[in-house]
Amino acid sequence: MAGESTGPNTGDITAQIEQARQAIQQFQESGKMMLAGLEEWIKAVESESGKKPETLSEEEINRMLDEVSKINVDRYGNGFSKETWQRLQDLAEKDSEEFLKVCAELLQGAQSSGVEAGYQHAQKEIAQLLDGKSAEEFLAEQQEVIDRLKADAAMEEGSIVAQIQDLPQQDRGEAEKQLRTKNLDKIEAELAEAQRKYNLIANLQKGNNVELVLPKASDEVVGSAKNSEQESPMAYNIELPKLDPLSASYNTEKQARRSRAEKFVMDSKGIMSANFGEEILRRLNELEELEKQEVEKSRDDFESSTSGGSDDDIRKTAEEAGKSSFRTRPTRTEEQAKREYREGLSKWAREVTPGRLDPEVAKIYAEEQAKKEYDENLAKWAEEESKNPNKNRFGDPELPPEEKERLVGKIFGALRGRKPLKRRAFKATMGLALALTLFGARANTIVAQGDGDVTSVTSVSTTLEDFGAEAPGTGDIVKIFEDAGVAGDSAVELAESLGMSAEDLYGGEIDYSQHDLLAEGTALYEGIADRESSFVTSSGMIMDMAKYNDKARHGNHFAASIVDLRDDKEALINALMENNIELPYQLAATTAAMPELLRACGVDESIITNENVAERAQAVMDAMLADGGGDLQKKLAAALNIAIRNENTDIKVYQEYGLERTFYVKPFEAQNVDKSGDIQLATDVKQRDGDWQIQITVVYKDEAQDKITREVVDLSGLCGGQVNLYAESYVVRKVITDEAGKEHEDVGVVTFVTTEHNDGTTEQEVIYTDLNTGKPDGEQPEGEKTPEEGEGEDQETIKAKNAANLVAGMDHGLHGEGVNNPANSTANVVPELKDNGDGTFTYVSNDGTTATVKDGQVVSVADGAGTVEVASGNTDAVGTVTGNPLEVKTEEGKSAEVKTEEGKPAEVKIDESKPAEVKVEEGKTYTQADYDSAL
Amino acid sequence: MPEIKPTQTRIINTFVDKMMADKGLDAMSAEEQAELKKNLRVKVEEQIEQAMLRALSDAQLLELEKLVDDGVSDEELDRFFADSGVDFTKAAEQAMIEFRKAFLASAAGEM
Repeated sequence: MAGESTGPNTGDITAQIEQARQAIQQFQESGKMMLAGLEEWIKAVESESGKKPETLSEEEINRMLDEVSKINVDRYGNGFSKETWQRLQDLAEKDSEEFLKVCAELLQGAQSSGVEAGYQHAQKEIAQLLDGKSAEEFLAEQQEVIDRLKADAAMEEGSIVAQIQDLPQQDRGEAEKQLRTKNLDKIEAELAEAQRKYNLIANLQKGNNVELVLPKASDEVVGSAKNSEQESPMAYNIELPKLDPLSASYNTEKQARRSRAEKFVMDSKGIMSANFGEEILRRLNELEELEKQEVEKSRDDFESSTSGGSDDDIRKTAEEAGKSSFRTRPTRTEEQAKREYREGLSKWAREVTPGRLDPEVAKIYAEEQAKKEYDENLAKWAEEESKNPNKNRFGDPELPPEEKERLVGKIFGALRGRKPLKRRAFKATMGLALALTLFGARANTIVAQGDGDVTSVTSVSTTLEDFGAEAPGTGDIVKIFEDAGVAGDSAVELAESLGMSAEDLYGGEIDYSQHDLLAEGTALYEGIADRESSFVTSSGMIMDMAKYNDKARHGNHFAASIVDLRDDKEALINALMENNIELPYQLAATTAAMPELLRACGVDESIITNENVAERAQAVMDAMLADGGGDLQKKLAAALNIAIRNENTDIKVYQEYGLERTFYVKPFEAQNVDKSGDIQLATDVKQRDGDWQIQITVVYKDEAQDKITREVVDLSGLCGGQVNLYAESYVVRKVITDEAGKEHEDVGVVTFVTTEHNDGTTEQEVIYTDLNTGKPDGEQPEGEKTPEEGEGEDQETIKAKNAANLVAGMDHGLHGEGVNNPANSTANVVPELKDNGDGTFTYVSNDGTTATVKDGQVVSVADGAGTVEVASGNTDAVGTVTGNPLEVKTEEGKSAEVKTEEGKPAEVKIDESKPAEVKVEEGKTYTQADYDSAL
Repeated sequence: MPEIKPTQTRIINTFVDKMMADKGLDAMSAEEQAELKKNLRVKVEEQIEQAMLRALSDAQLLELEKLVDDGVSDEELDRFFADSGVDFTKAAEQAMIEFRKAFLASAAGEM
């Protein structure tokens, strides 16, 4: 700001004050009206008597004295002495005319003084109101204040009307009066005062067209005189204070001081000597001259110092000159702040003034008001709630229906698609299905038996688990009956209300015989053969190489990752089907895991019965490249499409941990593919570490054989739906229940430890070691991320933690009991150990392989192809040949029993060392690195 | 003869199928019916989820609103619903019954 003229804007201020002075002088004239009243009175007396009154009655004298007594004190302490007062009374008795004249003069002087004081205070008030602002700025701000107050008043009036409208007519007046005293009277008083100030400043701009505005201070001055009737006359003196000549109100104050001094001199005539009055005026002139010199000096100093320097320099100069009230122009920052404040104030004022609003702003205003009201009500409600901590939810005050709907809508919008809400909806729906089916069919029997019938309760509980519901306890079962109210006839009523019965819920199974698979498959392949990236073999097999050549397909993966689609089941299914249609090797591997499907498509029974799934897949692949392979491909695709989209098919997305065998496709070129063997499928073992996978469970019902068959396909999402098998591994999934009652899956290995006590007894302990932390059970660090459980419905079939789960985890290469067996629907069970009598035990796992255990360690694994020796005893026997992991077993409505030899679990020690080398019969040794590099 | 336990998809599909059959939608083409079925399926699932929220007490709704505003995790949500003590099956039942009533009373499928 250096170099910029920032001196006091005295010219502007002076002009404004002068304007104000002129305006007040106009007002001052009005003060004469008071004296006019006195003159009228004198005239009336004269006219009544027809002549000048020679003497005044005592009543008249007292009335005059009373009038004069009201002005015997002013705010500056000047007043009549006792002597003056006595002289006035004497004069009333001796010379009525003179008495009246003196009284008139005194009253005129008092009026003049009061008006002058009012004038002076008006100037002070004007200066205070302007406070550096222009009149226009002040008026703009004041108008906003007035608008706001008007709006407040209108709202308050509206509120009062609303509060009294329901009252009887006769009570409304009093009620309104009381309500007004709360806020409205105060608001209206503020409004009147704001309007007065506005008019006061507005007069500055009206020239001679001023409006009469009583300065507040003036009223107080007059009022103080009226209220000081009993005060005694004070000393006859006057103060001539030195004024600040650079203050905004200097001219006004100077004029007031002069008027006061001149009046004092005039009043003192006849009382004080003539010299006394002259001396007063001389001192006043000197004072004014001194102040004038100060102004000139200040101006000179200012002009000499404004060739340079900052605002602070100028301010400092002024302060050094004793001009404490020296004003500088506001800096830009200050101006900006003020402008922003005014703009904000203006905006705010507009928003709170409904009558002035456009619809949009009015809407915002209404919403704000509604929210404010809601918050207030909520706060009251919360306060009430806090006073009643024991109030149950049924005693809660209710939210207004529209507010509750707003909340539901908001929350639903936020939670739509979120797993917890979907999970809970799933459970609710399944509970409903349970009510319709189980209760509808068995309610009468079970209710009649009561909760003491453990067999019945267990049966219900088992069925609940089958439905994916939380398994309740004995007492809970009966409560479910009671709460659901669906026992007996109620179930029928529920079925009628929903329009569907238990029978309706059953059915919908896959029935390939109802489909023309070739026709449906042909439709699926429509247009694919014509693609530039496609080729058709002589067998008619179609392949689109685009996905195979996609750079996003890593290594020997079947296709690019589809993990991103895991939250959109429909998109996931579509992507899987697209891959299977366009990539024959994927179709072969996928359908090879579904014997019933292969059978429906006319695949040779010898292929279907081959227990080696890898060989089976390769055989299906070769069949597509052999004669009639094109039709087979279309049928397989159609059948898979039917199976995967069947409403009874269960599709889960979950994260896998541990070792797993998986398919891959060996590299090939399109031009070399035309006969069986030209596309080669193979398998390898990979370590999964939280990889997203898809598990598809297809259900078939065979009424002829009175059985239900499930086929499970486990796919790697990362590899575009590559089929997984299970490898030799003792990795288990363990279900844990946290403090909140939520179930998690954890991954680890199980070790049985037998401790011999001194008394000869033994104690067996199952130790679970978390693979993530390497620590025994219960030592998982807080905050350690546990493997996430399966998505959606997946968790519904996870059983609670129990010993059977842990023991079941020892099953040969399986992931957990009845949970993640990709081979078949049979619940994974603890194998029955057979004592070989030579210190070794053997057991047969679900995949048909036989493991031999010695000293708690698996020493070998055998299948139809031979025996693998586990040289190091490591339980992660990488490289073992799995036999037939896709054995299909039928469900017979019974869960497997957990049995161990002689009632004791097998003792198995787990070596925590790295995967061991595996020696195969051919003498060839593979290492983990070999397998890692294989893919 | 053991039965295949119905999946949620099966339940919703059956509900919608029966509802559409009871409504009688002869005037609609197969394509229109397929589209309607798809929409009804989505809608009824939404209604069930909303009904579950409405089944919460006012205080629970306010608490849930705060949780949502604060970016509640899935675990916290699971815990909230599990601890709510609300019979969500009953809420789902009511939602489906009301949905069916509304659909049957509607002009859907009428020419």
